[in-house]
Amino acid sequence: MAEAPIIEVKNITKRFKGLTAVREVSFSVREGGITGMIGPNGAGKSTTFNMICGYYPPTEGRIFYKGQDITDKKAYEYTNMKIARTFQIMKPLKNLSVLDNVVASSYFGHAGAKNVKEARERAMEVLQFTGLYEKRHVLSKDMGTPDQKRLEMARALATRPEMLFLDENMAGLNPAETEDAIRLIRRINESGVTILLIEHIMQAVVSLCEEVIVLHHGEKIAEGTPEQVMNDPYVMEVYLGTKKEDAHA
Amino acid sequence: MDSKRAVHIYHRNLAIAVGLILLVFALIPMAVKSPYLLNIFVLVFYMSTLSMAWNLLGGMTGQNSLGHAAYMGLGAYACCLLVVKTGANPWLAGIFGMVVVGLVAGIVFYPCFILRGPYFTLVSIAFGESIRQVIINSAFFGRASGVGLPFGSDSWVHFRFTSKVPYYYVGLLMMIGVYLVMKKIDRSKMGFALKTIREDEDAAAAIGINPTRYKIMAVVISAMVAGLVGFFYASYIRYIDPELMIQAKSTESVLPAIVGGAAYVEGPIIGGLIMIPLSEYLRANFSAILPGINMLMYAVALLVVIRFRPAGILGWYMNSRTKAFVDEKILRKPPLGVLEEVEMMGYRKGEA
Repeated sequence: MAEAPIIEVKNITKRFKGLTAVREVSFSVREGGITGMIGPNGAGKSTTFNMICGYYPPTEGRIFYKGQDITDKKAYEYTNMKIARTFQIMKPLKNLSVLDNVVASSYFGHAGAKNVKEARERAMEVLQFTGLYEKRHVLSKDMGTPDQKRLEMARALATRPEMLFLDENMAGLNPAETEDAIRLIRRINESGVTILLIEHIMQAVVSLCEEVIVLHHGEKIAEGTPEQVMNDPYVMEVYLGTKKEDAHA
Repeated sequence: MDSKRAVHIYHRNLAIAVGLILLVFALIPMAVKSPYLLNIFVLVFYMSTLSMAWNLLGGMTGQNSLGHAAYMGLGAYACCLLVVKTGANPWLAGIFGMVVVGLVAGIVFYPCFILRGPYFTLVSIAFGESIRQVIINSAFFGRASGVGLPFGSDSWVHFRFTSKVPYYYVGLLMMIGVYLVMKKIDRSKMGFALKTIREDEDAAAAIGINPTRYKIMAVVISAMVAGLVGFFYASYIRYIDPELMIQAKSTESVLPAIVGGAAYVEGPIIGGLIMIPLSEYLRANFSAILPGINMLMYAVALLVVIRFRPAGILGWYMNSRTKAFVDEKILRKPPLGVLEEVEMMGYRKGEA
């Protein structure tokens, strides 16, 4: 028997005034796995993400986490439910050191640290895990993109989530840095964290995800294993465009 | 245990340095007999405390308030009216004033935090002006003529003295006490929540911080400290009027924090120690030459600091070679890694 999904999204729609950004999207995320969400720019990936994470309430539809309806929960209530997220546009606490960035997260969540030392201890563990330990005294605004992306993950991990949402965590990284990020995401998953990620880099999606959801113009157009999705004619059309001859035919 | 010893020596040196500074402040009234100079010190103490209250909101939470004179005034009024109308003990009235100010600030600002951005600043200006108008127009508050506290013989019970020395010590204690509270907040869960909100509210929500809740807590604490300053001011001057709450006074409460370095808990004290004596010096020595020239010079000094040291005097000092020299040669500060190692050592042992 298949396990119950950790996240279940049912027919969510988001309209911004007249514009329908996401239309009746449904999917589920298997517990313990890595699920990817892909699609061209403007497909509605981030909007879907923000709805699931409580940043925008969906216009219609419901969202379930472990069977519980969380559609109306506020973003800050997610941490206590062991859900964490990162942002596509990094939001480091610019004027704080890398260590303090993570210490701040360590105080919150279902198992928030009780005092400064516990928070620091946990932050150091997370920094070692994410490979930022050597840079812990650097101000986060002074770091480059790859480290800021790592810091996003470190901050999310310090709240000890069971479900992690990664929004384009590899955008702007070079191939070597992407490799490092893939390894890190796999290690996070192996530690028992379910992951849903938005990604543009196909190499990352193919090597990480067991399940992929494809969005286009706010609608789900395909889902399945990376191979199935990549061979889907409509997905190929969306990503690569139609051949000229076909278009004229 | 070499690293432990190094850290121990550093902490000892630090304690000696702090002790010496405290000793100097404790001895000043013995050496300085001029009431004029003592008054400047008292002014420094309560303005720095007011600025620390502002800094909790402006510096730590990133909510720029321009209404702190109103909190201070409200605290002063609540306390004076209670003393005058019921004959209550002024110390208890001071606590009453703090509670009143905290409640009013919490109730007024609760709806405002649903909005983001500069709305808080706008509301804080409107809040200050409204309170002042209510007081000017209401007989209960004594209208524009203000409220005076009863005079009498010197007494600790009634917190009234003809000499400035007791006010000096109470003011100093108030400043140190509020500093310790702010330092505690700065390092606590609440402090990290406030700083996260300052940097980015969405990021704060993503790690489970309810921004509205923490902003309200910050406003209430900040207003209560301002109310405490109001109590001290009223007991010191023994007369208050609505002029206490004019916009310029709110701006004055911001300056020590900005000049000293709003990112640091110590900023308002450093700023207050520099700007208030400077302002008084300019007034005493130049206003007779050409009226208003003292204000002009003060403004220039302010502009120079903001232009060349935008992070404030502490912001500059913290990254300066002077600090490196002081840390290394005088305080013998060990490297950060060693400090951290020793600090965490105690924790790991406690856990095992």
